[in-house]
Amino acid sequence: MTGARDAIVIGAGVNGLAAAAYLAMAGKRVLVLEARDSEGGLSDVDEFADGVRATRAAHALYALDPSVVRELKLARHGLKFAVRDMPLVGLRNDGKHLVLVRDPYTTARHIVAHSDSDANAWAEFRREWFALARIMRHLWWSANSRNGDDAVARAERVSRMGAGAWLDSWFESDALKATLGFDAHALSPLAAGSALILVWRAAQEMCGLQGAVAFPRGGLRALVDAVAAAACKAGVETRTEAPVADIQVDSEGAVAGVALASGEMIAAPLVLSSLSRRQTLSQPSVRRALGLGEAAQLDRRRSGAQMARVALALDAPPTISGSQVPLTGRFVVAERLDSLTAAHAAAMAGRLPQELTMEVVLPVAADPALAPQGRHLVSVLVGPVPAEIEGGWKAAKSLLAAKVVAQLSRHLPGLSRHLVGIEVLTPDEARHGFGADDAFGGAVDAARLLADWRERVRTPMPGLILCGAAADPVGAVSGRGGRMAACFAFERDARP
Amino acid sequence: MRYDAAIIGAGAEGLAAATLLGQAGLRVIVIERGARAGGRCLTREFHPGYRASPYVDDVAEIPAELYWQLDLARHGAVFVPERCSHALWPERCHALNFFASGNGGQARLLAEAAERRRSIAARAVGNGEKRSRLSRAGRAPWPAADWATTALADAVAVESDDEAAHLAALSLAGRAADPYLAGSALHLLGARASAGRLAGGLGRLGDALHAAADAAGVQFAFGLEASDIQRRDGRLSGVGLADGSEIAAQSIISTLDLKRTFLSFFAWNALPRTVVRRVNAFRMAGTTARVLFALSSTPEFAVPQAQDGPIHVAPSLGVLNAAYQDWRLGVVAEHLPVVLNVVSAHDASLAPPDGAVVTATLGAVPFRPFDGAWTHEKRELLRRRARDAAESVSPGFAERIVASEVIAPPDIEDALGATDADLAGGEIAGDQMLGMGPWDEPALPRTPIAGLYLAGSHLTAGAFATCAAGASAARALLADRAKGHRT
Repeated sequence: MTGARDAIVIGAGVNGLAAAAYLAMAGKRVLVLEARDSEGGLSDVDEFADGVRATRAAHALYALDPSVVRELKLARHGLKFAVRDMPLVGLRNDGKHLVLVRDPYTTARHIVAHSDSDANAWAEFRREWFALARIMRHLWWSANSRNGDDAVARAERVSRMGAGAWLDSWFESDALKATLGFDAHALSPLAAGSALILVWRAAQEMCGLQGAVAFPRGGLRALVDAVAAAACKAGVETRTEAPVADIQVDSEGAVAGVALASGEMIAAPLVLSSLSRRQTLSQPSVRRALGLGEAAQLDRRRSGAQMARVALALDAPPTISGSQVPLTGRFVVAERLDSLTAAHAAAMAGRLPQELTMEVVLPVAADPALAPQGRHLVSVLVGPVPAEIEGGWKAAKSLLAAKVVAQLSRHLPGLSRHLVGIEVLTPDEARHGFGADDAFGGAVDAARLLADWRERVRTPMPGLILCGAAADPVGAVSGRGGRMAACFAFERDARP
Repeated sequence: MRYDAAIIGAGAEGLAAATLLGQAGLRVIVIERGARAGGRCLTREFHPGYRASPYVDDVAEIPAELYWQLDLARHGAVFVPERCSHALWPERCHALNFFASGNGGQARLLAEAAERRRSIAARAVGNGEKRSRLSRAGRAPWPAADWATTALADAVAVESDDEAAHLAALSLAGRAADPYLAGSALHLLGARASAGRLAGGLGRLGDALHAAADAAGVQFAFGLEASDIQRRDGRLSGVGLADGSEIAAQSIISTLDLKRTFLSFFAWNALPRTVVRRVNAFRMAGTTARVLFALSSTPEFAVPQAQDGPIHVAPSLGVLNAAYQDWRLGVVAEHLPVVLNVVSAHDASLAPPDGAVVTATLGAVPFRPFDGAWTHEKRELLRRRARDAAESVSPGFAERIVASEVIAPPDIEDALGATDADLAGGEIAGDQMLGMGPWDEPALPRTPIAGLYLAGSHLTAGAFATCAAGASAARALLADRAKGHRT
């Protein structure tokens, strides 16, 4: 055993670093272990074509926790926003794109082109949606309130609804329903609980704007750097290229430390894992200590549908055909709610959907410094796609890329002519490379959306806490998982 | 004459409500557009000498308390519980014996479903006295609320694949749902929900309920169709009839489904906007078709005791899923979930000596086919699907057929007045049952229209208890009257 620590954090993603920073600020000796050669996890960048660098998975900030920004003083450590409130744009095959912005009246004017009655219903829907989101916030993230009963009772109907049914009850136009419904992509629009994912989106508050999606200056790498700087200042020690082979368990069944792949053992009474719940609990010693039954249960769950990430490097600025849209928006490609439903059904059956549904962001439009002169980046989240595909993802990877390019060419004319590089992250790479079953908010369990926050971070093993995306109701780059895990660790300490 | 209560529809729920109100001394009238009472509790001759209950073989359990309060035993409705269920594939079989002890995971699951079903029904009936859903009592979690966010496939993953498929088929008999979708586990409430078999067929229950209502002094108006609910000075005044006359009544219980009640009895601009929106958004969809077979002799199965209970033909989660996907698109799937019932095996009165009656219940049959109406060809397709399914597990079945009758979804809508032929009164989903009405306040069975109560089969008790919705509405009405007299 080498140099005992108070706590070990597995994984140096945004959540892991945030958890470490909180613990270190409270005076703990914390060590962060990262398997890869740099910090950042799924928010890290890779250069894939000719000077163009893209983050691995996350391509915008949906859910950064304002408390984390404030408490870790991220602004002082260099976090700035290039776009604070990205408009949501539905790209339509007929070229009549739908632009949803913050101002309900402007939005209603845009919706009129698709449906009168939807335009009328918009303001009321948004009011109810955002109010519901404020109620649910307490349940999801209030570390000091255990009592979410009232909130649950009021949100009960929507919490048991599918996103499809909920949107159907308000709107008639495919354009609006599909554009909004895409955000529930972690579950099928038919699945009970998927409406709650939309509420979760609206419950976010970045830059003081409820329900905003933001883009940081310098891309997501800038966020990682800011959190890493905060952690470093607090005294966190980080070791890269230190993959963990096992979590060690003492004779009483509590966590004792970790064993690295190199054979080194590091003792600590507290281990915070950024891996998914499934991957954390299937560490060999944990599995053994908790008994086989538990492990069998872990394996029974179907992994189902997830997201894939495709980054396209271009040598000319992308243009969007059809009606005028703001290039700093996030673009949803989903023709109808049924496209999402069908994609989910296909993904569950292990097939690539016929019609892909995706979200597109143009990072260079938001922050020109992100690519060298004359180079551009189109960042695409594709999903739902199968977690395990027939014939394996190795073979399907290029097919997916080709499909994305073909389908996007309809909206981005000349895309294939200007293509200079392409990078794909498949669900199975996210899983094996980053321990992220929950990458991009995939594989959401409807029950998790209503669970008490303690249930999300807790594991059956004393001293082992989840601090990754699994600690949030829907996985995202938020830092919240880290914060909640740290809160839980302090609470545990405080107890006699 | 002004009645204390008018009840629209003489189905099981309406008759139960009428009986309870009559027993409490109210002047009650039941308005029924057909010529007889009982609704789906009906047994009729479909071929000379062969009788069957056309729409359903059995109804969900009647809560014991109500069974005795309605005095159904004295009026001739005595149930014999089902003993078993079989899943048959051409080459193998899986049996669930409901009375064998020590059956492991599936027995526990079925017992849990039964217990949850009973407590839901009890709470729904008791809810008649509670006005508010957001009150402390109204907020207590409902049993089975966790199933509202669980996938059926996860819930039934007990021991073997065959067993899981059998349980899923048992839960989904005659319905359609994707077993892999969160929320579908609620269908488990329907597993083995049957009240049991009734000597003389289900019609006997309709007769018993009718007799009970008669004994309680309830009046009946047959052959009259309600067309609107009339209000005067903001208060209910009575039921308008299709022939232009009116039956004056202080309170009204509608046993029609939610959509039909609100969209056909009121002018849409007479209702609050939220109510119209929520009622419009309520999801109903037919899933069931039936084929009644008259056979020249008893069919043979690889397992002879299979005919003691329902027979699920070659169930699998994949088939249920694929059938559901097709159903959503309005297509009759290649493989429909089929349940066979040799009804004459328990009740010799249904078939001539030597003959047999088998009913086939088909699930995932769309109410609106994507390519238009239910034509003769499509009905023949259903007949063929049912016959082929039966032949696959009972060789020689097809040769024994003397006659058969197809009951397609539109027939069910016509006969029972169920919107879109939805026998359950609405999609089985967590946001449409377990205390969730289309409005937040007042709590069901009350409606935003004071004096109007709902007793459709779905809303309060789910589709999983008979007479509970009627009893719930009757109790709510009585509680409100008592309160009105006090103040």
